[in-house]
Formats: sequence, C-alpha cells, structure tokens
Amino acid sequence: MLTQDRSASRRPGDLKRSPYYYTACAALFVAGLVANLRLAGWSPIVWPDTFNDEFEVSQCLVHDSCTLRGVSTSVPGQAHAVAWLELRILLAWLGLGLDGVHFTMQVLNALAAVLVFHLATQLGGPLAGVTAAWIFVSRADVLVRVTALHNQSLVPFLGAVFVLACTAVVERPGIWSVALAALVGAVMANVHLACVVTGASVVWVALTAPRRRFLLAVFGAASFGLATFSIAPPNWLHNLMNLLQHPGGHPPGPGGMWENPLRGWLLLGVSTWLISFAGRAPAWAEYRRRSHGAIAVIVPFLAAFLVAPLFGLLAEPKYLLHLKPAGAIAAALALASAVRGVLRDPLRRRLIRLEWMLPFVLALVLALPGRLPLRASILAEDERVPTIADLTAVTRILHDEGGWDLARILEGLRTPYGVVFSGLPYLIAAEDGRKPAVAGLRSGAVLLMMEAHELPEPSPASWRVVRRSASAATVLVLPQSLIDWREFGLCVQPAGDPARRCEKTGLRFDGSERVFVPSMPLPGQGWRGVIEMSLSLLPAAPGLRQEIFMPRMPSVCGGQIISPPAPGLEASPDRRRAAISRAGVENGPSTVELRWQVGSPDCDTGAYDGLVPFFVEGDAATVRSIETILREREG
Amino acid sequence: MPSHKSNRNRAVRTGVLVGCALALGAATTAAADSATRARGVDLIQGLIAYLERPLLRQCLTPSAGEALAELVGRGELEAVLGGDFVLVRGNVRTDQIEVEIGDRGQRSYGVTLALPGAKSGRPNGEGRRFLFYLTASPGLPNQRAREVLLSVAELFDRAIPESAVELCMEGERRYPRALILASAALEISVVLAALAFGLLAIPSTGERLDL
Repeated sequence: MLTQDRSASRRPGDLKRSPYYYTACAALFVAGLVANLRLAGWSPIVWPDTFNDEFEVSQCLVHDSCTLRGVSTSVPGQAHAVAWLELRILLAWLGLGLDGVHFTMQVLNALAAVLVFHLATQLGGPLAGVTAAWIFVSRADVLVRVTALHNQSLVPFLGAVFVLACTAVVERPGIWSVALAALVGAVMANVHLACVVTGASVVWVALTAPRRRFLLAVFGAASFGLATFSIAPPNWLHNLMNLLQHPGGHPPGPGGMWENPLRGWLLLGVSTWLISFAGRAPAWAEYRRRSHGAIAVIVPFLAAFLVAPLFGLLAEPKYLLHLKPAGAIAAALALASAVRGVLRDPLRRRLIRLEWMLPFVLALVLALPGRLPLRASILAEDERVPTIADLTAVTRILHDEGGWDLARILEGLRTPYGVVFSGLPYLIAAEDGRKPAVAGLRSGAVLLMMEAHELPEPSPASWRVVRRSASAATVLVLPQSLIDWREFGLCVQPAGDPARRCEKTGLRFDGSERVFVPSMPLPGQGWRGVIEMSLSLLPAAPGLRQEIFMPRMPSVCGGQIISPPAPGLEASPDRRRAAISRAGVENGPSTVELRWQVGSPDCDTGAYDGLVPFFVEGDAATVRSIETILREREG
Repeated sequence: MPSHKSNRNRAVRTGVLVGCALALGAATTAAADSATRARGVDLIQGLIAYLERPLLRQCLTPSAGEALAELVGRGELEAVLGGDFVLVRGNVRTDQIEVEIGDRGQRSYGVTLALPGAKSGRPNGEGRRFLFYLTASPGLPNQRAREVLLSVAELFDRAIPESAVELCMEGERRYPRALILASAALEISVVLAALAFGLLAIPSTGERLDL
C-alpha cells in the first residue's frame, strides 16, 4: 500500500536541494575520491594498453595524424575505443599527462558514486541511496584492473550517466530524453564495444512511454545507430566487414558470467523485479516503474552476455563493468523496499532520521584509512609493477642527472617489467645522435620493485629508492656494468627445427623510438625454441670482479650461463651465476654466453617479450645484494 | 470510424514490425548464405573506398621488387656501395622498402624507403616517390654509412617505375587533430547535457513503498 510520508516536507534534505543533502553528496564525493585513490593510486601502473593509446595520442598531437580506427579487442577482427582515444587526445591537448588523466578518472569514479547515490535516493530513499553507493564502490577492482589506465577506466562513470539517462526517459518520456539516452549510449559504444547493447536499452525505455512508444523506440534506435556510426565511421565499417567475413569463426569461448562479484546484485535486482509482476498492489507497479531504468540497462546486456559463448565470444566478467551502477541501483531498490516492507509504521518513521545519517556514515567508512570497506580489494600499494611516476623519476635520474639519452636508457636499463620500454619514448624526447660509449666501465641500471622488508638498511650507494610506501619500494640500482650492448651475437633455433640461425645484432629503434631486436622471434605468438646470446665484455681494469645472475621470477624468462670454463670465469653448478675476474688475468674472458629455452618451465612462452630477457649483471657487491633478495623470493 | 491518430499508430506499428521482420530476414540470410555475405563485404568495401577515396594509400606492386633485382643484377648498386659496404638485406613490403648494408666490421646500417603516409616521424631524405628514414644504429655514428645509405636510397627511388606504385585498400586514413578534438568536445557536451537533464528530470519520491 502506498503511504504518504507526512514528515516528508520536514525531513532533512528532503531531496529538494537542501544544504544537508548537498553536504551529504559532497561528503560522499570526497570520501569516494579518497577511496578510489587508495584503490587506483595517484599514478597508473605501466601497462601495454596505456602505451598503445599513448602512441596514437602522440601521433595525433605531434604529427596531426589521428586515427578513427580503434584498438583491437578480444574478439578477432573487431576494434573499439575511438571515443576513449579522442578523450585522451583532448585531455593531453589540455596539458594533462598520464598521471593527470588517471586522476581525472578517479574524480569521475567518485562522481559516479555520487550519481548512483543520488539516483537511488531519488527513486527509493536514502537507505536505497547508501546501499547503492556501497555496492558501487566496494570491490571496484575485481572486474577490471583499476590501477591501470585504459578505456575501461571511463566505463563506470558513463554507466552511471547512462542509467540516469534511461531513468529520465522513464520519468519524462519524449524526444529529448530518448535522444540524450541514445547519444550517451553511442558514446559508450565507442568507448567499449561491449556497450553497443545500450542501443537495446534505449529502445526498451522508449517503449515504456505512455504515448507514441513505437515512434520513440524507432527514433531512439535510429539516433543510437546514427550517432554510434558517426563518431567513428571507418571503425564501424571495418568491424562490420570483418563480422561478415568471419561470422562466428572461432570456437565457443568460456563463460565468465558466474565468476564475478556483481552477479549476486544483478540477479537480486532482476529477480525482484520479475517477482513483482506477481503482485497486484499498486506499490508493486510503482516499484517496477522506479526500477525500470536500471532494469532496462541490465537485462539486454545480460541476455547477450549469456548467449555470447554460443557464438564463440568471450563472456568475461570485465564486460559487465558498465552494468555496475545499474546493478547497484536495482539491487538497492529491491533491498530498501524489502526492509520497509518488513518494518511497521511507527518503527519506520523513527528510522527516518537514522536513514538520513547513513550517507555520512558511509562517507566516513570510505575515507577511513585501512582496508574497510575495501576489504579483499587489491589496493594500489599492493601492486608490484612500477607506475608512470616511477618511470618518470627513473628517466629523471638517468637522463637529467646521468646524462643518458633515450637510446642509452633503452640499451642500458634492465628490468623484469618489459612494458617499461614501451613507455620510455613518451617520457623523454629522442635526441639526435647518441652519446659515445665510454671505454671501460659503464653504469648499468636495474629497475626493480621490492617488498619494504627486502630493502637493505642502509641502502647501498648504488641504490636509489625511487618511491617508497609502507609495504613496497621501487628501486633503481646502478651497478658498474661490463657488457657492451652495442652489438651482440644472437643464435635462434625453433623447437623441432635442426636449423640454427646466428647473426650479429643489437638493440634497434624504429621510427617511433620503439626498441626491438632484429631476428629475435616475435613475442605473443607462442614461439618455442632456444635463444643464445654472446655478449661482449668491455675492457676493464685488472682486479675487477663482475658477476652475472639469472633470476627466476614470475613473468620473466629464466635463462642459464653457458660459457665454457675459462680463466677468469667461474660459473655455479646450476649455471645461474657466474663470476668474471680480471685479477691477474690480462686477457680475461671477452664474451659471456647466455641461453634461454622459451617454452620450458623456466621460461614460459608468455614470459618472453621479444627483447633481451631480464638478468642482473654488474659489480659483485651489487649483484650479490640483488641476488640475495631474488633468491629468497624463490624460496 | 477509426481516428486519424489510431490509423497512424497502426501504420507505425506495422512499419516497425515489417522493418524488424525484414532486418531479421536479412540477418538470417546473411548468416546462412556465404555468397550474400560476400556481396555484403563487397558493398561495405565499396563504401569504405568511397568514403576514404581522397586519401587512399599507395602500395608497391611486385614490379617494384623486380626493378630492384634488375638494378642489383646490373651492378649499379656496387658502384654506390664502393668497396667498403655490401648489401646485407633488401625487403620490399606493401608500402616501403627496407635496405640493410654491412661494413667490413660486420656492422649493419639500414634505411627505409617509405611511400608518403606509410611511416611516421621526420624523414632523413626525400626522393621522387619515397621518403628516406635512416635506422639508428648503436655504436659510433658512421658518417660514411649515412652518405652511402642515402645514395642507395636515391638510386632505388630512381629505379622504381611509376607503374610499380598504385592505390590500394590496405592501411587506414588518418584525420586532422581538429576533427578529433571537436568530436571529443561534442561527446563531453552530450554527457554533460544528459547529466543535467537527468538530475533535473527525475523527481524525488515523497512516498514510502510498502511491499
């Protein structure tokens, strides 16, 4: 039964622009921003998608050559994210670097939380609002890696705007509301291909109009289609062409629908809405009307998500990200309505004031340090991948302080995070010419992330702590290196092929200053075989002791030292460590031979990235200190 | 007597239903018939070519490689290389030619001849049809190698006949920055408008829902 709350006009911040309500929204925004920054960090981690996007951003801004063909998706032949690239380009044009864009995404995510709270409160009261905001903010990291910057970073905010737009169509059906919902859907479809189903949601809410519903539905579908196409015609034409050329040409993919934390909320919202059809009371109809916008966003995509594996499409949980705002609202409305249905009138009225304190309680909980309410989430401080800020600091140390140019950095930097090399050209301008190699000792550079307890105290002189938190540290170690990286011998033998191809090669740079090694097998194609390198050693003063260590780390291709026994070179029995001594040896070893077997237990095919695999080389003291830490991890 | 409005609504409904049926039929036919799909692909390729016609990319035909092979066979390349360099590798791609030469110390040096639009970055030289991009090599800069590479590039550029370059469907058109920035600004405006409309259009509920 529908009851009019007589105290509604006296209720604090009764949803009518009162200072109390605005203060609650502001508190939630600030707290949401704090929580998002704890989750995602102030600087994004180094990530392939980020640098692939950055390539297009720099091509557009620097060379005035911009693409309207997006990046490839998990679906072969399909591309997306043109709108994301456009927004990235606009933000870069306005002067925002990667850290600035990342911070902007956290601001938008906080704003999305406030939108979700506001919409749910408008539809079902403050209990629904707080519940929806809680569901939206909690476990934000599970569907997508929030510490990285990619097109999905924008999806939660757009999802919140879209459910708002769809609800506006239900409440105020008409040309304008349908057009706006269609346009927002079009933008979303060009940010992420999974959002193309928003067109069906626009048609659904248009059909709820009391008059001219079919006309509005046709108008909505046409607006969505035209706007989606107009944002990136080449992209959609090529997608369509590829779809026609290869319809369902891949085996059924795994269904990920049931392996995500959002499923419970989505099912709660949808099932309650369906059950409401069994009730005859006007309140049930009112509940359905209030939930209609959110349900219209959820159901079409869920239907497509459920049948996608039958057509060979991957149904990964991350594609549900744009449903999170709608799912939170639908579930919250169901819960709030159930709670009110259970409570009797006098108790319900007494709880009104308590209910209006809930936004501040939630804001306080979100802003608190520690893991509640982000329990079970991976926070930014848990990441063990360097950030863009780390990389910027490293280039400042090597370039500004050490005088290294880009080529020298790409040549001399060793790190287990190969993606770092994709990002360096965007942080330091390539200079014409290259600094000549200094005969004799050169400085090397090793970039590692360590647990806080692994950091030696005090830090050795050759160690530079780039960033430090309570749990981890990013460290740049500067050993004295003897390897001449200008040129080295490379032998490649594919598995099952008796032919062994050897040649002289080295690190090269293409027109975009991307580093590659000619004749190294291409990564990402499951290549298996043996790679051997013969590295020349620079002349050094007698008495110098250098060491090489081959680590075993996740995502690192582990190798061995295969140099034959020689005066001045001692290798350990497991062939993972070697000492090179010039003490009393005038003509000590001039080369060192290393070997990697790609596709073996020590070197997974996924760990091979097409560049020289990571190993540690330098003066004995520095290598020993790093080796001790890395060996302990293996234990 | 049916009103004009109900007749119109009936017509709209009928039109929508017929349109859906046609679309469904077309989709079903396209899905089932590979010939129909092929025709669809041809249609879309034609549309792409029409839309992107002004800036279709240029590509090299097989006669480009033949012309270079003849050049090498005549010994004209050796005159340019002199005795200090040898040709290590020549690779003719869709829209560029990669050339690698080696010196007596077995160090390699490379130059890429790229058709306009095929490669980004600032070229190191220019011929009749190609832009020349030197590949940065580690080690001390070898000025002699640079001169030889550019001479080789000019020789190859003169040897490639006009018939070896044609318009092709490969690659993609690039667009000006102003278009992208305008598009992004428009998208932001749409989102802001939807936000404002939604915030204003959705009334609050003063009622409690009893279930």
